[in-house]
Amino acid sequence: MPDRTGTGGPAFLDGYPLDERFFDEMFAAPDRALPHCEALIQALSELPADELGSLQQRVNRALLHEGITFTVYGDDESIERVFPVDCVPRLVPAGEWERIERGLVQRVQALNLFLADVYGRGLILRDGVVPEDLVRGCPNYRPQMEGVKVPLDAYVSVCGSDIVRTRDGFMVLEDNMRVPSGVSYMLACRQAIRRAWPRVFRSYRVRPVDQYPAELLRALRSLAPEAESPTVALLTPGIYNSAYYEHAFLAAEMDIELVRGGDLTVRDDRLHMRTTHGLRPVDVLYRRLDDDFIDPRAFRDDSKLGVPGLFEVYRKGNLAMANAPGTGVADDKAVYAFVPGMIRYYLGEEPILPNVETHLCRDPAGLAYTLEHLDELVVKAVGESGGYDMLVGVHASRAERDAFADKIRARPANYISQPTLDLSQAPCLIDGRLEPRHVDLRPFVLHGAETRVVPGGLCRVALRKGNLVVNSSQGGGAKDAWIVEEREC
Amino acid sequence: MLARVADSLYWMARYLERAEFTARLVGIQIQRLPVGTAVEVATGWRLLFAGIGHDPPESETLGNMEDDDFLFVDGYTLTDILTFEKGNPAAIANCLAAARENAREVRSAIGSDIWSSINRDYLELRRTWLGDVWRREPELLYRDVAEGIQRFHGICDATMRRGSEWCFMQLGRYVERAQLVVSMLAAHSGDAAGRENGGEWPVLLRACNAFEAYGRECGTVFERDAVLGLLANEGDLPYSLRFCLGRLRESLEVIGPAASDGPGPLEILARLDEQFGDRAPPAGDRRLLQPRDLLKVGELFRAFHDVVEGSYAFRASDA
Repeated sequence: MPDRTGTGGPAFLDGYPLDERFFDEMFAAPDRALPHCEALIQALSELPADELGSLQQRVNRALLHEGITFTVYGDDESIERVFPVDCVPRLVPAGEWERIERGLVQRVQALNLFLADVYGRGLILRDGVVPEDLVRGCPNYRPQMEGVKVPLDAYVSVCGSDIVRTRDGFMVLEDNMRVPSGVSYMLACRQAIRRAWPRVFRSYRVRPVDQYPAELLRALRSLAPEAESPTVALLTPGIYNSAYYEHAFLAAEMDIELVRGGDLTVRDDRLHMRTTHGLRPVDVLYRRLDDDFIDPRAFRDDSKLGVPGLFEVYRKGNLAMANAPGTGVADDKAVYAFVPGMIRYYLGEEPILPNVETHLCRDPAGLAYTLEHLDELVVKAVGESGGYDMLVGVHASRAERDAFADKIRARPANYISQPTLDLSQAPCLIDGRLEPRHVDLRPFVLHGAETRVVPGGLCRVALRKGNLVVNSSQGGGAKDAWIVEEREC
Repeated sequence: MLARVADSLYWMARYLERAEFTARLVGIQIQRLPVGTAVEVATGWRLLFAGIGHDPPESETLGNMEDDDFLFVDGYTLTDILTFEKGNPAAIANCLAAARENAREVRSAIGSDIWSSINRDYLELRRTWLGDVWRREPELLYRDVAEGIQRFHGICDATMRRGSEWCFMQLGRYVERAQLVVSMLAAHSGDAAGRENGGEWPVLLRACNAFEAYGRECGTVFERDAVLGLLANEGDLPYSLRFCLGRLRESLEVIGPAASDGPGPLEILARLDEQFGDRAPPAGDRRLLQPRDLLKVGELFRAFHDVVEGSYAFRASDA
């Protein structure tokens, strides 16, 4: 395996190992940077010996003082943790990004059409493109949404899709269409890394991401039912939610109220906020609360976080909500397998971004294949996220695989499997040296009167060596993702 | 603005004021350890605990402090109780934590500079162990805490619009300050040792940033009535009750009236005004407020707090 030992380059790059199985986001070969990364490598090379470490410390301190944290459940002593941000950015050339952007717009448009269809006439189910029992039996299918008129048919206004790169190119690993999080970390990463690399940042003409809150607000306002100057509010579960920082950040940036269920009440078929001077109506609710909890009368009756009667206001068209209830059926991990078919069905186009090959354990053939190849597959529960209830076969022990096989046999419809992907790697500062770690990219798509993708996204990093799971709840961190103009490289 | 946000801003400011005032008192008390007599130091601790409304640990502890041998050892224990003890809600660290929790609730309303300021101070104090600090110059810790909170208010002053958010913070800050000053005045007025030697009034004046003002206006003899008059009526002293009343009234005028069945907050302020007289007292006469009035004044400030909570629906149902 080639490495950079003894090349005479900067000390922190000595021994940087390139593994031919994985695409490296910075190096084409030992001693040969990808063309668009040359200026960054040059800047790295010019740093004094220990400067990279102190630069990382400055980034960490800034994130700590600004309270850029996430919450890990079950850790009583310190539930807030600083979000780990690597000080070396990941660079994506504009040409590659533009394909991702077009692919995501295509995907979100098709998924919105799918949602309007399955809660409406159900043509795609009638035509057998997506199995009806898969959709109607999905835990995130909400029969309450059948026949509900959704403003602009925009069921998914905010989507975070996870894009991975292998030697075969970019592909979509999953779509997050319920309450996707991470965008504030993307913005915080950008601020911290821009401060750390001001000259390099400027020289690259990195495409900006700061406009995200303004674009989100524009998308939310476009959903408002007949209000000229709609009142928009962001509904949070509260300060103990793992993404509370993000909720507070976005509300502040959009200059809208950050509300909890207790701040809201229904009067005269309208949703209102309790203010110091009485009740004030709300036109658009950006809810960061799962369907189950938004209204105890319509969904889980033990929810203390939501607002009794809220769904009825929504159903009557007196409130817009982003994302709409019931969007989880479109990001179900089994339904995911049918997204390329949806794109062909609704748009008459070939998918620009491919899916990862997916085996549905609900199908006998898929179940047999999965059990037979458990040591080389990644198995996921269809309704889970955050890296929970999954098996990475290549990293699991025999006993762990056997135990997971029993779970699959007991509830085959609950699982899908995919090949273990050779996720690309990017250099990260680990103990004073640059070492490769696996990465993905979660760009954010906004869909209202128009569909837009903010250039970049949250580049998530599996900080443990060899680990393929990038979720922050599983020890992951992030990098700033720079979309750079190729003519500058 | 949201009633819950108003509530959090109000309580954030109250907890910060409490933390700052306690830090100032503890810092002054620590400065006396090398120079004060054991009796003075013990009296100082007793009044400090009485003023903040928290019982000292054991009466014999303070009794022991009248012996020089115990002065520093028990000083450490009492300082720890007032600074870090988890079971003491008035401890500085707990007040700062409560203020930060309230700030987290309203992060979107206060802006990142303000949030970072309180978060940084909280993290700094959380990393501190009194044992380390005690070996060097412990009073510096209390200076830093007080300065951190003053910096917080400075950032608020420089960055916040003077709308409702600002005004609810001012309400919390000056209600808390007024209640603390009344409580300290009551504790000092009723203390036998204080009456006999007048030795504790300078401590209170220093904690209230009024020591120099007293010297200019009243000389070097510390008398109860003169201190009462100064801290009640001197409208340009930031720790005087009249100054607090002024800030409360200004804030209410910006916030505007709210639905209320009983007397509104402005009516309570008018009743407080009556306690001090409508105008500034004649030169040299600072005895309008008597010790017996302090109980009534304290009750009125508590009533003011209740009315603010009720009027602006901090804990409301659907009103």
